[in-house]
Amino acid sequence: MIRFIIRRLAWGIPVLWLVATATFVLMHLVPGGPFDQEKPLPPEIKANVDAKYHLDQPVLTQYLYYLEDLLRGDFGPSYKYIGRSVNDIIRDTFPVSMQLGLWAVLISVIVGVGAGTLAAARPRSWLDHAGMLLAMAGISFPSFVLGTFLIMIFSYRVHLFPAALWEGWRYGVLPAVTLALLPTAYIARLTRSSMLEVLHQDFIRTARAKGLSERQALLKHALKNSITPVVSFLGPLTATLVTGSFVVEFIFSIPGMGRHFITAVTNRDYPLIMGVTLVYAVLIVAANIVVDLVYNWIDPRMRIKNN
Amino acid sequence: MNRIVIRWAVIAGLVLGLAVLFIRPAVNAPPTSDPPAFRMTLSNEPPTLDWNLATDSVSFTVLINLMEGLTEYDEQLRPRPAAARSWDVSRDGRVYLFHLREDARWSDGKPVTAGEFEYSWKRLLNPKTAAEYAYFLYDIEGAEDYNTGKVSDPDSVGVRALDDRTLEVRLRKPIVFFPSIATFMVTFPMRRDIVEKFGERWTEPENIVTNGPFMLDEWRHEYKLTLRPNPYYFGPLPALGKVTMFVVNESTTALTLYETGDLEMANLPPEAIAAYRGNPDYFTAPLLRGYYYGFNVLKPPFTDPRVRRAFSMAIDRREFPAILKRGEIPSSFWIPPGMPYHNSAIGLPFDPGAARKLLAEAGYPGGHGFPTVTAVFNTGPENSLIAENLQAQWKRNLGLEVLLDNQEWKVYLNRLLTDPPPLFRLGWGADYPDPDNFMNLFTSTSGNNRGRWKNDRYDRLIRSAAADPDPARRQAGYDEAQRILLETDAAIMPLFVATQNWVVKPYVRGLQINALELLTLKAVRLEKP
Repeated sequence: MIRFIIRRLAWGIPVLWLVATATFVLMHLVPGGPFDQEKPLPPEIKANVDAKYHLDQPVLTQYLYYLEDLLRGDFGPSYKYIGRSVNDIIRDTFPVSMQLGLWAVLISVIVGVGAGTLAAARPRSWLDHAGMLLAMAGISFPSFVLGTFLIMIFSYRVHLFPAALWEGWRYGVLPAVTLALLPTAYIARLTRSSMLEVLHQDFIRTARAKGLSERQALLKHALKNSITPVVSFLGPLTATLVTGSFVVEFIFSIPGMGRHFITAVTNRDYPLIMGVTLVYAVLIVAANIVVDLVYNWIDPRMRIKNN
Repeated sequence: MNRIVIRWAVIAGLVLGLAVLFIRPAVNAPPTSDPPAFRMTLSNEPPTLDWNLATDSVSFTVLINLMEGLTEYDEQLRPRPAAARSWDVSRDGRVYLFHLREDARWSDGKPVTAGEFEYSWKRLLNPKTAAEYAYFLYDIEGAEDYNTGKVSDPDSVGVRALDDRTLEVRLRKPIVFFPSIATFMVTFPMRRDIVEKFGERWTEPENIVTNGPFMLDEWRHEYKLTLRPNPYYFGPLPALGKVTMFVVNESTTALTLYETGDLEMANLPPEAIAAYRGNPDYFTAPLLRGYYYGFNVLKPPFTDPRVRRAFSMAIDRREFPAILKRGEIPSSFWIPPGMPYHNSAIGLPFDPGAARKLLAEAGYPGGHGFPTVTAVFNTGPENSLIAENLQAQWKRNLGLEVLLDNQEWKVYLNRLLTDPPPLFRLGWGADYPDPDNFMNLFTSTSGNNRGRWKNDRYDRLIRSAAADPDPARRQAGYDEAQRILLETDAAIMPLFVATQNWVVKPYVRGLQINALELLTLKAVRLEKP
């Protein structure tokens, strides 16, 4: 097991290097620089600014500087937020996005798996149709519409939850629900289809024949065997949700990391673009390793394969 | 049993949901906290609170309440004494002596000295600081040479503390509006001991020392800043016990927070203005910010001034406030209202007949033979609306098909720098309220002159108006310069002057919002009903 983890971690390093290099090249290919603005800088001042951030060096030199700093765990200074390093920005914003993202993961797993199981237990019943209708709505409903709708009802009409800001758990409810809607819908549909398949298999028929109650057959045997696709989905989903959502953070004014995936690009804040992209890449790599470990635990066939 | 429970739960949920939909919002009560707290929003995280390095309006909104420079604006945007109690100007207009107040103090109780202005200005000009607004002080002797690295001795710069209370500024040419430049944030005094002790982190709340009415109490990055009164401030202590500035990117979110009683004021998103117009808490005022289209005068067919004049005269500018709905002021002039030497009689009028005649004289009768031109603008809903309207007006009034193209902001800026399109959109907001700040954009050496237009007479007029202390002569100079820029040569076509639109709770008194969009909070008090 340890050897498996080490091997997977070692594979992660070239992946991260590739992501870093591709991002570096792409962002320098995009026209416009970090200090282009409506009121253009006189050339002499532009030269001072470029020298400060090594932007007067050839791109290859800049790349080598960057890799050197990266190896020391230093993402460099933000070009937009003067005096703050990218490490500072990630340290300030990532915990917020992670907290909100984990709530959203929790909601989507509980509600999604629950709704999918209920729908599969009573296929073609009104419960199944209602659940899958809601799931379809969840997939097609954009988060900015749902977020605004929730604010209108729960903040503006009844002062049950705050409309925005980040002062305590009550402030996290509406954004977490907004963030959770889409993955909940996916998980519900995944669980339902996977469980329907499992419920038609021989071992469930055997379980029922041996006199197990429907609930026992469903929860003890079918659920564990039908959860594999959900686990595969959960890995990248968790990485995506804990790094924040631009839309949700904007609507609810949450000081998370998600906004930087967009604003860093529009600002051409090169070090920040690299920083948030790499954090996301690290999480994706880590999430996939965790998913593989969970496979090992829940599915004996995977264990045999790995051995 | 289970099925019945589920059914009832679903029905109860639906009933509850419907009930929630029809409940009216609670009435907002003013805050009852003691001491009185004022809550507002910033549209972004301030990129920096290092006032030598700040360049954006968000940072300025915070800094104007934390700091005071030599001078500040009065209600008419004229410079008046602040940290300086008075100033003298030499007969040739090139030497300013600023006399500092004896009672000006930093938030740690230390006196504000002239040496701290000298340090700040030389730090601003030091090439290693890489300050983007260093050029604001280029009119000081030796400043440009020091900033551009031609000389390395900071003492060659013409700013010197003669003693703790007197600051001498030597200019390389007479500048009558220099006291206006001294209101600008980048020129505020700075404490060498604090900057050198804490390095890049000196602007964090635990380190920063300020000399304005408020001091920085808390800065949760990308979320909120909290300000408290500076007990050592020389003026009356602010009535507000606390100011919270939340970073709220979305103006609709800010408006919701205002409506739910979580803010004392909010910037109105354009789509909400109509609903609030006429309300007692609605506030609107023009800004010193112009919106224009420029011509690349080196690219045919806009090499011919008759074509440029025809394009400008074919636009009915009254349509813009009707489209944008923010009370914009249609403008064919360039110096905006509210700024000295504004003249609304200047600029080409809307005259489609005269425009068609000009186009015919230029060799394109009825638009025949006119080459295909593209108007380029940066992506954004407002810019699209304006561009589409212009396209329709040129079609209607000149019979011309103008193509439109939009580009992402930084891509667009790069294009303007390297290969300006024949027709392009831009805007300009004043840094300080003197016409020089608007008019010197189009001098032949200005980096802001994207259309590559050059006129010697214009350059001379702008240069002499900047140095002329006589108001009548300045007025005549700027009038003539505007006529060249907008009428004779028609290098640009101004379209409108932008406005600001706010909602402010009726119990807020003493709030000052000026045409530079700077919010001064030191006189604000909350009067509970």
